[in-house]
Amino acid sequence: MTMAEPEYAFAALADPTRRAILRILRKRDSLTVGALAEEFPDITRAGVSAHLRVLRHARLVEEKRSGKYRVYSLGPNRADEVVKFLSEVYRQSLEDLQNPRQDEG
Amino acid sequence: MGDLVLTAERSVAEPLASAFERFGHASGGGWLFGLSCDVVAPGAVVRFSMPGPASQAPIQSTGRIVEVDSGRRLVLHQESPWRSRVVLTFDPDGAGTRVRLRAVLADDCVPWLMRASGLEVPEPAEFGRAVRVGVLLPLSGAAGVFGRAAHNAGELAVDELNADGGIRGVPLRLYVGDDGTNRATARREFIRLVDLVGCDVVIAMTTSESMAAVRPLAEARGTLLLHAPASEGGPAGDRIFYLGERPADQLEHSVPLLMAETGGRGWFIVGNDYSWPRSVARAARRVIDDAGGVLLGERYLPFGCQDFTAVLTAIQATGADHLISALVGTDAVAFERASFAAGLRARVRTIAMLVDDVCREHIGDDAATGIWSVLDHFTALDDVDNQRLQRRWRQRFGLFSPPLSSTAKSVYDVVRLYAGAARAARSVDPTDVARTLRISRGRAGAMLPRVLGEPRRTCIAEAVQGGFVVREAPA
Repeated sequence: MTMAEPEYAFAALADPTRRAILRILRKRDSLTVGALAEEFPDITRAGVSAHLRVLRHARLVEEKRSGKYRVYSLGPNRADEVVKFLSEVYRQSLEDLQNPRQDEG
Repeated sequence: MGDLVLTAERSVAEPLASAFERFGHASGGGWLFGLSCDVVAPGAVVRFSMPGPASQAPIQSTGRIVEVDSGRRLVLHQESPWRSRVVLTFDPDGAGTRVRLRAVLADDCVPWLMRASGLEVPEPAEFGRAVRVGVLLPLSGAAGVFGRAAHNAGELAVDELNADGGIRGVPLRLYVGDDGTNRATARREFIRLVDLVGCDVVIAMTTSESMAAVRPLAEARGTLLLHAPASEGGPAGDRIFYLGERPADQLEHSVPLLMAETGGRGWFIVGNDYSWPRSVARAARRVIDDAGGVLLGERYLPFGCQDFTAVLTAIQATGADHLISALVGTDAVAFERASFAAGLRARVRTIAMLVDDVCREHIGDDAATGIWSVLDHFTALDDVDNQRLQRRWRQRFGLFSPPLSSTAKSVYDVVRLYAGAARAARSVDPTDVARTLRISRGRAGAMLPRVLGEPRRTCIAEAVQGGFVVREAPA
């Protein structure tokens, strides 16, 4: 098999938890792992850290040190905007079904 | 690496049967239900236009219906500009219908949209030694219709070569850039493939316009650049090769043959407005003149043209018996469909310069029937090598995928040509490979006429229901 071109951003964004992390960071600017983990009661703190590693690798989030804490904020990679756009486009495809154009028939 | 899954759900007041019926017929009813296809049946090709990211043009897409369970379920494979699988299910919901959509987007989707939006995409990590083969091809724009088959052809060639030991034990790896059928995107993707990915060769399956745009970049970098499909060619360069059919190769035999069949003399030329169609016209004028015909008119249209009323009126006004079409991709599709709808197919015989198996599918069985196409390859060629290749193609990509058309075969051939030369040269240094391409015999032998600038093989085929019938094929 041909190896596909690895696209970190894509792999990172394919996961719904990671997309949720990006949504939260978009609203709240920067957060510690602990604060992020509180938003995901079903996932362990180590699990959230693992997701953050993937997001960091894809440069979707950035990690900075603040005193003894590490804080996370949105990174330079804006692939999340593309996924948001795509979700909207596919959602719209059915919304239009509700409103058939007046000039039909 | 997971797939990106998007879902949507909607309840509509219509009963199930009529909601299902609207698929492919709802004029203006959204990009998915409003897609254009001749029939809603497995294997049928579709074209649709998705909204583009903010302030950008809609995304012209192609695909294929792969499953129809009438009144219950529809499955669609998007083929360009990225790959996705869209499943629509229909369930009764009171007197109305609940429609659910599940779209599984392949990993080429997000990077494509990011690049189209001017966003940076992280480049792949290095993983082991490899010979990097870049292929620049159109997955969007007017020629986007050719892209998926060409992409698949590159994959198949690379896989087969790797199964055969790669290049002296080093595997080939394929990297694809979408030139968007425009010069600026072609340049951007060429630079990415060469400067960021580090490709050892770039194979361009593009319009000659895109080729002309990237050629100076290749010269400045010393890149080996191989142009694969039909073209007017270009000035010889140390590491630049134009390997496809030339207009004269395509027209010298077909023009007199068609005139003998119709008994008519009058010709009209229509093409997109760039160098290749103009070059087609130059070759056509000479060939028509030699054959005792007369050129009655010519028209050149910008890419993306959808209204052909004026040109169809002009063709009819001249009373031409024959037409040479050098329109590209979706422009050729739209023109041939309009031509058929206007009743021209019966009165004016067409030689199409770039209607390969992929393009014919999109024109549609009815609208395409009777068109002559002159290219070096058709899926219908009955030689044993082609039949074996067609079997491997279908085994690899399935029944419901684009055919191994002439443009796609040009990529397959040129990847193999490159590998043959690199193996013989015992090097992937572009100078060594280029030198070997010029002098080598053996594995690359079948492609040598192309490299050496001799006339290319062309076959004359006529579109019929379901494909082409090859009328003339040189031995």
